[in-house]
Amino acid sequence: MGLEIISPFEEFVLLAITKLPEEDTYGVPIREAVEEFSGEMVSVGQLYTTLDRLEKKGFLTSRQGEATEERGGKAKRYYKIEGLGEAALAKADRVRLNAKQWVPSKARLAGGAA
Amino acid sequence: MKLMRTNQEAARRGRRHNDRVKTSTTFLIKKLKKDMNGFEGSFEEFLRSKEVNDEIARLVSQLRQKGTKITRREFKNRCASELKSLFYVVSYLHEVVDVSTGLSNPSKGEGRRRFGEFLLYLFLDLDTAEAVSGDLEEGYQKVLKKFGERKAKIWCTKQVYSSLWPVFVAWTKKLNLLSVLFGLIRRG
Repeated sequence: MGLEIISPFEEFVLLAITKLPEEDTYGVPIREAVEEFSGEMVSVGQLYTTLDRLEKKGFLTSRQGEATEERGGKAKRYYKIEGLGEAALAKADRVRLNAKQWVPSKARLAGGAA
Repeated sequence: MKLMRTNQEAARRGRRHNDRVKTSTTFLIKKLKKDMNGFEGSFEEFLRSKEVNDEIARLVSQLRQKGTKITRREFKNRCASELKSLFYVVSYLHEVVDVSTGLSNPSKGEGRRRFGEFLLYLFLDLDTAEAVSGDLEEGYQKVLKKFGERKAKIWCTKQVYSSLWPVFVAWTKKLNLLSVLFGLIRRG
């Protein structure tokens, strides 16, 4: 069976983790990056349930980080994208490209009609 | 001609009746706003309280004196939905605002934040709950620096409560509760 197609939100999360520097691959910067990509407010709970799901699928791995004062002494959780995650991102790209080629654009439709 | 005049007169009487009742309900709502503030109990208990019923009885007798035929129950039913909305708004404001100073009530706001955090710990595994809670704390500090305490608290409360639904759904999926529920509904 082939690799499953990920949802746009999962794609945003994986992309954010790929783009962010290693020391910033924890909740807050990931959420901010996803909000920037999508232009929508993302709740912490929504982000973590997706991270959890992606980790279970084997797209990500996580490790417990250090606790800082500004976080009230609570530890960060860093995420790292794995080979499967990268493959899923590549597949999402491919699917999008295929779909775009398959669906005729408005301009082409207009040209065809004329 | 006479019939038309009678109909017009009846319509005018009906309008007068409605106007009087409306004025009285507005008066009642304004009067009871103060009693709602800090009322310890549900809306139904509030509606059954002596203050509310005394005030309704007074207004209804005033209306009857002016020739408006209305029973206490009818009058109460007319006010109920508006009173209910107002009751919830006042109760909420009482929770977050210190009435004597007009400032936000820090102890109660803090309590709600802690409760929200507790819910996260309830539905998530310990490590994830700690990470989520830490993120919320970090976000809170950021908003605090940029926009001040009030906005930071609003941000945090909004984050916690908007986080609960996806977390709850994930939790039910984990426990397979949804399929059990659907099974029960189908059987029932």
